[in-house]
Amino acid sequence: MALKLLQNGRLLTRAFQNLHITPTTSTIFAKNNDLNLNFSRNTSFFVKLPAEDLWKGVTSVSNAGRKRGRAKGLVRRKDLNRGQVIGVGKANIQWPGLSAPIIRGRELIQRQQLPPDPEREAKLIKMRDAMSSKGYQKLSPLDRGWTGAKLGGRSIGAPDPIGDDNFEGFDTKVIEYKQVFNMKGNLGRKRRLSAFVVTGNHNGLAGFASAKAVDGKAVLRKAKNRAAQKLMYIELCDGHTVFHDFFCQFGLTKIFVEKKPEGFGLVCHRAIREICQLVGIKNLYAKVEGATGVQHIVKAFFLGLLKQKKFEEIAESKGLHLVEFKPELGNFPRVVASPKVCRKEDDIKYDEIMDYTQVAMNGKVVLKRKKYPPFYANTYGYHIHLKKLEGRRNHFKIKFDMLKEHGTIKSFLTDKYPDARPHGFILRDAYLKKKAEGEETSAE
Amino acid sequence: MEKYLKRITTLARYSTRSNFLSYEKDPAPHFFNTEIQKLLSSITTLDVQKIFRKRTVNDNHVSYKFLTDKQLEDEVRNRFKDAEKALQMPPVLKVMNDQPKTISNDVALTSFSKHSYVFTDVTFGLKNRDRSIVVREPNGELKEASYDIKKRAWQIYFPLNDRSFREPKIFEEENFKRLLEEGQYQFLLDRACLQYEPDEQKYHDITSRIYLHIDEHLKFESLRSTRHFGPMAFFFAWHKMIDNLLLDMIRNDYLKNAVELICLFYKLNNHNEKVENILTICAKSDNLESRIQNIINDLLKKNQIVKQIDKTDEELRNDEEYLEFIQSYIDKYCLKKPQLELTLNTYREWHNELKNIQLKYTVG
Repeated sequence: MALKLLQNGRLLTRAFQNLHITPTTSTIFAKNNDLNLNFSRNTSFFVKLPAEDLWKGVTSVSNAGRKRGRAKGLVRRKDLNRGQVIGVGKANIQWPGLSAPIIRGRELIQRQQLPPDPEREAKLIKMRDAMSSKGYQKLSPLDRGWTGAKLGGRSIGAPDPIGDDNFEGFDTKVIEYKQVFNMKGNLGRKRRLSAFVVTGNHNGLAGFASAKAVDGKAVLRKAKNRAAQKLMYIELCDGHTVFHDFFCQFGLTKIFVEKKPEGFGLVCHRAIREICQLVGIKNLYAKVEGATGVQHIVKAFFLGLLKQKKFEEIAESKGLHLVEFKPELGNFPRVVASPKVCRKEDDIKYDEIMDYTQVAMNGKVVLKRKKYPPFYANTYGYHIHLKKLEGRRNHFKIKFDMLKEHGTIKSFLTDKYPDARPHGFILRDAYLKKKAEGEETSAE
Repeated sequence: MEKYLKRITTLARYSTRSNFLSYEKDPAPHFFNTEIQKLLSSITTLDVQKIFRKRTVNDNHVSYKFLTDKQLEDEVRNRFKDAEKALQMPPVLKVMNDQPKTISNDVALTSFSKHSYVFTDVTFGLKNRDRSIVVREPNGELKEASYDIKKRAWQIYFPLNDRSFREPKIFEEENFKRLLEEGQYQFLLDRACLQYEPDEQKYHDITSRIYLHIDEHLKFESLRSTRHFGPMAFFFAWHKMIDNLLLDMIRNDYLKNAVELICLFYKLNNHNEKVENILTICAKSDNLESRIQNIINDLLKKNQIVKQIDKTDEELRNDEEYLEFIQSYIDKYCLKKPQLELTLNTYREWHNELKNIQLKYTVG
C-alpha cells in the first residue's frame, strides 16, 4: 500500500514538473478554507527543565574542561528571586492585604493600579549584577603590588592589635602568595594557600613569617599576625642605610649588599626593597647571586642585617677611632666611634687591614667582574658611527648655548646669511614672531 | 653733623664720577701690607662650621678611616689649613688702564686682508699676564692686543673652568638686582671673581655695588667667614664708612673684630692713633691652637664640663679694653654717634651682668 502511494506521489510530481508548476503547501492549504491552523508550542527547553538544571547547564564545566582552564571567567549562579516581593510586580498594582494595608485610617483601600515605577526594573537588575561581581576593590596602580596580577608586593596593613599594642606605624607586605598541595590519606590532593609576608614599622623593627590556610583572607591574617610575633630590631646607620658592605647567604642564595650615600635609593631585588622600606633603610645596593627563591632571599637578607657590626664594635676591635669623611662637608672628620683605649701608630702592624669595608667583611674582598666593552664596540658599523659622531659631538652644547644667549640658533654669520640656518628654526622663529605680533594687536 | 654733611657730599661726589664708589689711589700697596693683611684675615674670622657647611657635590660617598689620636689631630689641622686656603682673599687692585701700544706700522701690508689677525704666544707654563698677544690690523699696524682680545685669547687657549666668553646673565641689571634682594651676595661675588680679573672696571663696579647693598641692609653675617669679608671691610675702611659694620660687630659680640676694624680704619686713613697695645691684646686673645684642641675634644666627646658662662675672666677683662678703644673711636670719628653709643651701652650692660654672674658663680 505504502509502496503504491509512493509510486503515485512520484508520478504526481513528475506530472507537475511536466506542467512547469511547483505547488507549495500553503497554496494547497489556501484552497482548503475549512482548515484553521494555529501554531503554538506549549513546551520548550526552558519550560521542560527546572531552574536548577538550567543553571547547571550554564555554570558547569566538565572536569576535563576545568583542567584545561575552561572554568575561568564562567557565569556565576544568580538568585533571580532576590529583590522580588510577592504582590509587587511590573504593573504597579496595589493589593490590599498583600502589598498594602486593608484599612488606612477609616478608609477601606481598594485594589487599584498606580502609575508605573520606572526605577523598579533598574533596581532589580542592579541587585542581580551586584551578586555576580566578585567583590574586588579597585586599587590605585601604586598599591597593586609588583605586577598587579598576583598579590606579591601588596600591602595588607598593620598586624591585628594584641591587648594595648596596636602596632602603630606598622605595615605588612606580601612577599609570596601561592597555592600549595599535599596528599591526605582520605582526601587525596588537598589544596591550601600559603602566604609569606614581612611586617615592619619603617624604623628598625621588622619580622617575617609564612602561614597556610584554605581561605585567602585567613592565610594573610595568619601570616601577618605571625610575623608580628617575630619582630627583630635592626639598627640603622645614620637613619638611612646599613653600617657597611656585607655578604650574606642562606642555602644557595647569596647576597652582596653595599652601603650607599643619601639620595641613592634602593637598587636591589624587589623582595629586598620591600624589606628595606619596612625596616627604614632608604639607600642601599644589593646583588643576589645563586638561587633566587624569595623566601631564601628574605632569610639571607635578614641574616645579613642582623649580623652587621656596629661602629662601636668595629672601633673597639680595631683599637682605633673610626672617623667619617663626607665630601659634602668638605671631608671634615667626624668621629663616629672611639675605643676605650686608642692604640698608637707604632702598634699598628704593617700588614694590618686598615680598609673599613674589608674590616667589616672580615678581610674578604668581593670579586668584581671585569667590565667588558659592549659587543658592538669592535664592529665596522660602530666605528663609522663614531666617525660620524665626531663632527657633531658638541652640537648639543653649542645649540644650547645659542638658545641661551639669543633665544634661537644664531651665530656671527647669521646676519649675513639669514637663510643658512636649520629649517626648523627658521619656521620656529617665524611662528614666534607671528604669535608675538598677534598678541600685540590683541593687547591693543 | 657738619662731618656727616661733608661725608654725604663726598659720597655724592663719588657717585657723580662713577656709578659706585671707586678707589682713587692705588689700594694694592695698602692691601698687600702684611699688617693690614693680618687685620683683614682676623676680621674675617675662621668659622669651621660655616666653611665646611653642607654643599652639593657630585659624589657624596661617605668614607671611613681608622685613625689614632695623632692622625685625627693631623686631619683636623689639615682641614684648618684648607679653611685658611678657602679664605684667601681676592686682591684689591687699582682699575687697570688699558692702552695697547703700537709695535710697528708696516704700510706695505695695508689691506693684505679684510680681517685683523691675533697672534698668541702659547708657550706652556707662562703666566697669562706675561703672555704676549699681538694684533695685525688690516691697515698693516702691529699692536698689542687690547684687554678684551687678550681675555678672549686666554680663554681660548687656556680656558678657566666655568668662565664664559660672554657676560654672564646674572650680572644683567634685572637678575643682578633680584639676586641682591635675595641676599645671594656670596654667590654673586664668587661668580664675579671667576668671570673678571680683580683689576677690571666691571669687577670694581659689581663688588662695590654688592658691598653697598650689604651695608645698607646690614647683612654682614652672610659674608662673615668667607673670602670676601676682608675686601669688604677694606672697602668700607677705605671709604670711611665702617659704622654700620661696627654696629653689627658689637651687636653680634665680635668686639675684637670691631677693634681690628677701627685699627684698619686708622691705618688706611693715616690717623695717628695708638693701636699697638690693643692689637697685642687682640693677637694674644686669638689662639688658633686652643680652638683646634677644642674641636678635637668635641669630636672625641671629651668636653664633658658644660660651660655655664660663655666668657672667661681674661676675655671679660679684654672686652673692657676693647670697649674703651671703641668708645674713643666713637668720640672722635664716628658718623653715626647716637646709634653706636646706644649699642655700646647695651653691650656694656650685658657685659656687667655677665661679670656679676661670673662673680657669683666663682664665689658660690
